[in-house]
Amino acid sequence: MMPALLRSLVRRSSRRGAFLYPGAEIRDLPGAQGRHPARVRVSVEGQAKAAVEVGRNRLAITAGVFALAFCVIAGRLVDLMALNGGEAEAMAAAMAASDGPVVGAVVARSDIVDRNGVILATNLPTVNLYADTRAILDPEEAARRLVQLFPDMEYGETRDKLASGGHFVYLRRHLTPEQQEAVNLLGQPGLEFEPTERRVYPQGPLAAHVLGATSTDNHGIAGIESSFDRYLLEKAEPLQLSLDVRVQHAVRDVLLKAVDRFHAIAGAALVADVRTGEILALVSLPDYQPEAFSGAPADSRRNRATLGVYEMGSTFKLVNTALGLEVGGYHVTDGFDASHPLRMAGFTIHDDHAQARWLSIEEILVHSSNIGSAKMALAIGGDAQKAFLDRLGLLSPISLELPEVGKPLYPDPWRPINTVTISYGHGVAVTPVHMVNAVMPLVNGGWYRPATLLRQDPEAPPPGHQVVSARTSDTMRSLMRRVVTDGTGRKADVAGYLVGGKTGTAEKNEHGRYRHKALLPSFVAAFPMDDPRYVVLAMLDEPKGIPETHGFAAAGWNAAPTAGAMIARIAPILGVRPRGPETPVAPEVRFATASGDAGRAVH
Amino acid sequence: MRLRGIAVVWGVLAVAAAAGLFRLKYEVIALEERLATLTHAIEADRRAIHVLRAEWSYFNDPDSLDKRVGAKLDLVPMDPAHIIALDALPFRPKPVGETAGGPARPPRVLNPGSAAPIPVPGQKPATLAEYTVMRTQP
Repeated sequence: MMPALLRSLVRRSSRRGAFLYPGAEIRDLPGAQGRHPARVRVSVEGQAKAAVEVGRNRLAITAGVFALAFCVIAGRLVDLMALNGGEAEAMAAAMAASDGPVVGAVVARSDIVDRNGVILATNLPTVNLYADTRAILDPEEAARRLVQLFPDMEYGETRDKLASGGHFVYLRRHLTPEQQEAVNLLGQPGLEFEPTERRVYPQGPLAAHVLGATSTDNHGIAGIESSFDRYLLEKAEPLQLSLDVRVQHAVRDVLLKAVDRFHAIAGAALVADVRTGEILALVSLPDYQPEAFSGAPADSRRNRATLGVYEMGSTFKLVNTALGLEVGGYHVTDGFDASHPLRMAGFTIHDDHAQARWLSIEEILVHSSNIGSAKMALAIGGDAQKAFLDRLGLLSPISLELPEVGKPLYPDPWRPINTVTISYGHGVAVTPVHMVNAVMPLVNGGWYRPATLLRQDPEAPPPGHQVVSARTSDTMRSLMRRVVTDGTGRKADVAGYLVGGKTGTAEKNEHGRYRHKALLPSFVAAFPMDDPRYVVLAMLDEPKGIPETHGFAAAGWNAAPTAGAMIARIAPILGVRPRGPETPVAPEVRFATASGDAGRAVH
Repeated sequence: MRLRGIAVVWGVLAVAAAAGLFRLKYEVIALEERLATLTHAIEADRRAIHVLRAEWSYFNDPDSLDKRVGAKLDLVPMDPAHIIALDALPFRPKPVGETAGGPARPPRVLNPGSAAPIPVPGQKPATLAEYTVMRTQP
């Protein structure tokens, strides 16, 4: 059969034979075996076989390539149709990475809030007005109408700006929504708005010296705004301070009235929690509107509570007494002869409230004796005094979260005359925050915790380190209470709150000379003295004697009552329960409570 | 025939997949539009809330509140004398005319029974027999 096929092929090519339909040649020849299908076995040999193999391979490869291409197209189609060409995946990944589109910050700079979440500083969205001057049809008309709207804009300048030909000329920053609408209603083409944000301080000057200020491009230039600039720009959640606006307001209010009443040129006040070191109120007067920081006078911008360093005067005797008890190992009943003024290195040390007799350590503090303090410090020695002051943080800059922190001034070398003057608060200049921070361990059982402006976790107070013993702290508490009940601080007492403290009246040192008429009275207090919670400091700068104080300008007459008034205002806010029988207690009440918690009712 | 069947099945599947994908595509677009609308609305609300919170803080400035309260209300800052512990409150004062020695109290009911402790007209008074079994309270 095969030879027949080959023959027919040969025949077909070589000569014309009988007509055959295509394919007929591979069938049996007519009449051979009826019309049975051909049984053909193609067997190609040699070159022909190779050609067929090549053809088949090419076919297979082409089919494979096509199949692959179609698969790719199908995959791409599914990708495009169902998954948006990777866009959806990218979106999903972005959503998973962030917390979703509606969690991020609303504004570019996060809020500053007080310990209760009251907003102290926030960004508000506003618009800037600019002009695309190429689109302005009539600069003179547009300028005229803009000046009508904003009377503080100058016509000539505005017209020149509008006619300048620039396509982005700022006309006015931070329009209110009403102003924006008014500009829109002008219907002037070429007046455009640029969305922006503005830092606002809803409480005004209340916490100005803590917050600081921001520049027009929303960067901190003072206070917390400056020290936490990166935090505020990067984090979405607000920055929570330790301040309490209620306390801050009460303290500022009382201090404002005191500055006014005693004709002082300035004042500062602090309230701090002795358990955590948190500062609840920090006031420095005069203060400023944070929005108008750059225009405020330098005197207002000066933070007297943290930047100004002052010789604190007799309030330092608290530190000196603690030095005697802790380092000197004295007992409160030990004493020194204060009957004669002390002469040393050409100076004579007098007492302001001279008792002219032998005084116990307790009496030295209560009567604020310079002579007794000096003799005690001399007995202990200058090196121990310096080391103790350093332990209380009085010789190094305070670690407060503000850029405006003052560096203490102290003598070098530390001569015996310095030991004498420092014992009663002259010769070392510290900030009021230093003073508060040093008094805290004297009343809280001896624990030094750096003062902070950030809210601390009440469950986990920051770890402190013990700088004086609990026994010294206990003694200091009762001594401070004695100063208020029997000594120079009587006017600071607030019935029920067991206030303890110490007055200090420093003479201001200007160009190395002390001015007798320029006083810096201060009062540092803690309350309630049976379990101190808060330290309060009030300081007035150059108050004058007034008829109500019989012309005196010493701390007992102005700073002490100011601190007392602050405590009376803030203690109920802070939830400190008054002690002692505020109302006469009937005998049967005493009887009824005798079995129960009597100590609480009739202390 | 089998081949043709398979082809038909594949064809139907392909058309179904195409139709499904088409539907899905438009559903996704609609959902995305809705998401964008909602997100936009939420963002607008959050901005409004942000502004309102600032406004709330502004109107609750303690200084201005203090001034307004002082001008319009009879409130004063709280004073330590305004706070008292509950157990320091005195008892209710005794009625006038009552003596410490012999208050006119009704007798205590020591033997709850049928007899009224206080003789009331029309009621049977307590008998002596009942009092014999009474136990005195300490």
